[in-house]
Order: sequence, then structure tokens, then C-alpha cells
Amino acid sequence: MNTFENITKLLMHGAFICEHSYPDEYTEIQNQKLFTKINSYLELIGMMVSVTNNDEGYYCSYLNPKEHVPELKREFENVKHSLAPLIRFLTIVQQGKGSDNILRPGDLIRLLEIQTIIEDTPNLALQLTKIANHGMFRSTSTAIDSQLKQVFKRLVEIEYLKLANPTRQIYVATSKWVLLIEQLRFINDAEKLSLEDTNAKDEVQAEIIL
Amino acid sequence: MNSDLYKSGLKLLRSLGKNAELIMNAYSYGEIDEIGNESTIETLTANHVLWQPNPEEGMRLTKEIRSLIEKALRDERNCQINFNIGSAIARVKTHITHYKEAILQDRARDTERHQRDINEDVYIIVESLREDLTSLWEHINNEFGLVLTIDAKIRENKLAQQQVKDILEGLDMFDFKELTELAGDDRILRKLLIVNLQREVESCSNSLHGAQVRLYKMLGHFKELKSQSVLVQGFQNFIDNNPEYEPQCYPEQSWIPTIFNLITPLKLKGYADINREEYETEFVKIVQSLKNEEQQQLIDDRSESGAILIHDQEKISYEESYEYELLDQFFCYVIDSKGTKISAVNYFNKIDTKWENEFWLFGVIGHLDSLDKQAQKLFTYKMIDQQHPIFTGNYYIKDIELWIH
Repeated sequence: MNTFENITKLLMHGAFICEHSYPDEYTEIQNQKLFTKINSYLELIGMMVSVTNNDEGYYCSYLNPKEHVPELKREFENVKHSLAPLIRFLTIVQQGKGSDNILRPGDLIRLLEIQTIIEDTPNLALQLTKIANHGMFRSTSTAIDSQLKQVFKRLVEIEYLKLANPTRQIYVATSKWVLLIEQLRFINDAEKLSLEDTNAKDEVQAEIIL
Repeated sequence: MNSDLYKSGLKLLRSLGKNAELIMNAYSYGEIDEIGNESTIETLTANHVLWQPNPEEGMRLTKEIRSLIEKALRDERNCQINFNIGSAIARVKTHITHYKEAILQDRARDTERHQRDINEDVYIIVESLREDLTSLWEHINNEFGLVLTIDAKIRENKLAQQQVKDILEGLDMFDFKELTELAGDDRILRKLLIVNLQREVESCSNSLHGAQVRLYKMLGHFKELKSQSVLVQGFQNFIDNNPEYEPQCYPEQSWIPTIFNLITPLKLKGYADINREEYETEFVKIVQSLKNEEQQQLIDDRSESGAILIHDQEKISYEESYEYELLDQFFCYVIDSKGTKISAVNYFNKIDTKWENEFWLFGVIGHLDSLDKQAQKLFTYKMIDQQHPIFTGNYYIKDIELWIH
């Protein structure tokens, strides 16, 4: 399969192409000539290539979204449905790492390492069960290791993670998280949730208590 | 250098080596206790290796020894940018005045000594600037990896920005017009102050401006990360308090944001056209993978196998079958033909059966083999075969002629 065919098909399959999920394809699509060729092809069939801020990831959109409202609504349902568990996953990893640094594209997650931490931290185990039982991950197990395995497997399927080293179970975060954060930020602004303010208030309160 | 000084130097270095463990402990823990080491500590203190800020505190390494170890180990934990340019410039200027005075008064030995001092001064300035820059860039390049939290990184970044500003302000203190005047037409001074020093200061200043840009961008990046982190945490708290929360449906609005303009994945399904020779390698790969999958399936099945239900085998009564009947009729026909060669294919074409030609021929051979030896002797047969058009040595049986003696 040639590069054009390969990337175009990936996009039509709903793939999110970034440095970490599809490194070769990501390098290729940054070539303006190829990008234009793929985009022109997709435009002929009512689609186009969309890019996240900072060109971190490429995905396929409808050229005339107004003509595809039912499909877009269905996809939005997916986004809405998975938003809470995905965000919770981010906070689990963040707390597991013991830093205030959010999971970034390219960050490595060692499954066994995070498993040990969760096993030692009842609160994190509780959080994990919450997402593992969610319709998005559908784990029926009560064991941390199989819950975690199911969550990671699903995250690989929907391209938020990529298995970087199968023998040592090391995963790499893809840039799809950037899209998720952009979506969350949009929701925050559109719905005037003031998520950043409430948190700031919490911080101020915490400082006062201290 | 006189031999006494040389000997003392050796003695000092040997004592450093002898007390390496003690010194490294002081380096690692900040200070050490005197207990048990009084005499050693006394010697080391006399040699300016250790010092004691006040009697209640432990012994600490002097700044020089600490910085020696830091530099040798490339341990940047404590490396600080603390080079004081102002005093360095003042020192150079003073030495230049000494030097010029010595020249005027024609004191050759002093001239030489002061020239060495100026050399050393410039050398120290260059080295210190380079060290400060290296340390700064190391911090920048590992994105302040020594501290974990974003807040700490933001603070470190701001500190580094301040340091860059300080060094740049320090560099502004180099008044090359004044230094040029000071150097006058002295060739050595001009080379040292105007050529070497100026070049160094310029390159340092360029590097610092680069560092400033990087630090500024990095601060933006850290702030973005911080904001993302706060956003995620904020949403987490929000959803914990409002589990039923649902955002409105943006695809229904007049303007659909690109971040929610996601296609429903197309299921592209294709079938292989096995007549396309150019895809032969791909096809082989597909077939190979099927085989692998099948084998994996077999392994899985085996590993999952529990109790196996065994049914009574059905009795297969071949003799009673319709096919057997047909073959039997054919053999009877051969016998009835009294020695005439009968083509199995011709006979087959005349009878009404759902069999295929190939099965028929196979049946005939099988039937012949199944006869007892006595009966077999009665028949003679000849296979009519045809060679494969490409692969020589392979034959297809096209027909069988059968007759009786």
C-alpha cells in the first residue's frame, strides 16, 4: 500500500494520526504536498483533514458538517459518554505519579508500576473501579490487575495509548489527549463551568487552611 | 615555584585523597560531626577544606572544594550562577593600571607579573561566563527536571529568567570603549581585551538572548500544562459533585466546532481479486496469517478444552449407497461387453447422476481396488492421462478404459 492510500484509509477509518500513534504516517502527512493531495481526495467525498492546535494530531472531519448532523450527534454522544472516565483516568495517572503534571503525549506509563501504586492506594483503587465498571470499559472484574488491563486495552483500541513495549508492558500516551483537553476546554467555556476558577478557589482555601 | 610550596601542595592533595570518604560525606549531607575525627578535621580546616559557620553547627565544605566536586561530577543540583562581573571588571582595570605603571617605570619583572594577572583575569571571566551559560542551558534543556511539580518548574524558570537578566546587565558593564582606551596601542592588551574578551562577551550575550526566548516559551508551556492540569482537576471535582451533568449537544448548533466534527468511521471492506498477479505477495501474507490464526485457534481450543462429549458413531453403510449401485452397474456393463474396452467417462456421460467427472473416476479406481483378488484378475484397465501443461512430471487422469480378458 502506498503512503497516500495508507494515510487516507486510516483517516477514513476514524484514526487519529500523531507522532506517537502512527509515527511514520505522521511524518509523511506533514509534507504539505501529500497533505493537500489527501485533503483534495477527501473533499471529493465530502470529508476533510482536521488538525489539532500545534499540529499535534490529524483526523477526519465532514466538509459540510450541517449535512451530517445525525452522525455528528452520534459521535458527540461517544465523546460525552467517555469524557468523565477519560478525565478520571488522567487524574488516576497523575495522582499515581505523585506529581501535579498532567499526562502528556509521549509520556510513558508502565502498567506494572501504576498497578503497584493503585494496589497500595485504596482511594486510587476506588477510582479505578469507577472507570473500569463504566460502560466505556465494561470490566466485570473486581481485581485491580484485570480492571487495569481492560482499561488499557480499551484505551489502546480508541488510540489514547499505544503499546510501546509489549514484553515490559510499557504504554505511551498519544496526542489524542490534546484533542480531549481541547474538547473539555471548549465545554468549559461554552457552558461557563468556570472549572479553572473553582479549582483556584479550592487552592486558595487550601492555603488558608494551611 | 619554590620547592616548599610544591611540597605543601602535594601534602594537601594527598590529605584530600586520604579523607575522600569524609569529604564526600560532608558533600552529600551538607555537614559532618567532629566526633572521632578531631585531628583530621583540624588539618582539613587549616587547609581551608572544611569550615564551621559557628560552634553549634557541624563542619561544612568550603565553597571552593564544594564547587570543585560539583564541577567534576557535573552535579548541577547546587551549581549556582553567582559570578560577579562587576568585581571582575574592576580587577582587570586595576591590574591594567599596575601593568601600565610598571611599563612606564620600566620595571620588567613587575610588567611580566601584571601581564600574567591580566591574562588570568580575562581567563577567569571567560571561564566563568561559559560555566554559567553551560549550567543555565543544562537547566533549560532538561526542562528543570530536578524539580517535579509544575509550580516548582515555573518558579525555577522565573529564577533562571532573573539570572539571565542579571548576567546580561553584567555584560552591559563591559565598556569596550573604555577598555580600548585603556589598552591604547599595547598589542598584547588589545588582543586580550578587545579581540578575545569582546568576542566572548558577544557570543555570551547572543546565547543569553537565545536562552531568554527559550525560557519565555517554556514558561508559556508550563503555564499551559498548569492550566490543563487545573482544568482536568476542576472537571473531576465538578463531575464528582454533579454526576448527572451533560453538556449540550454542539452538533445541533448553527456552528459546529472542528473538535467535535468527527466522522463516523467508514468500514472499508474489500475482496481480493486473486487474478491480480501483482498482489501475489500480499495474498501469500494474508493466507499465511490465516494459517497462523487457525493454529492459534487450535491452541486456544486445546487450552480451553473441558470434557468432550463422545457420541456413538453412525454406521456408514457404503454398500447400500446409490453411488455404490452405480459403480456396480458399470462393472456389470463391462462384463456384459465381453472384452470390449469401455471408457468410464463415456459411460458416465450417459448415466444420470449428480457426481462430477473426477469423483466418478475416483470411484471407479476405488471400486476396482475394493474387489477381491480373484475378481480383480478378471479386469484389465488402462489409465488415459494427460501431462500438466506447465509442470512436467504431473499427470491428470482423464479417463479409464476397462475391459475383461
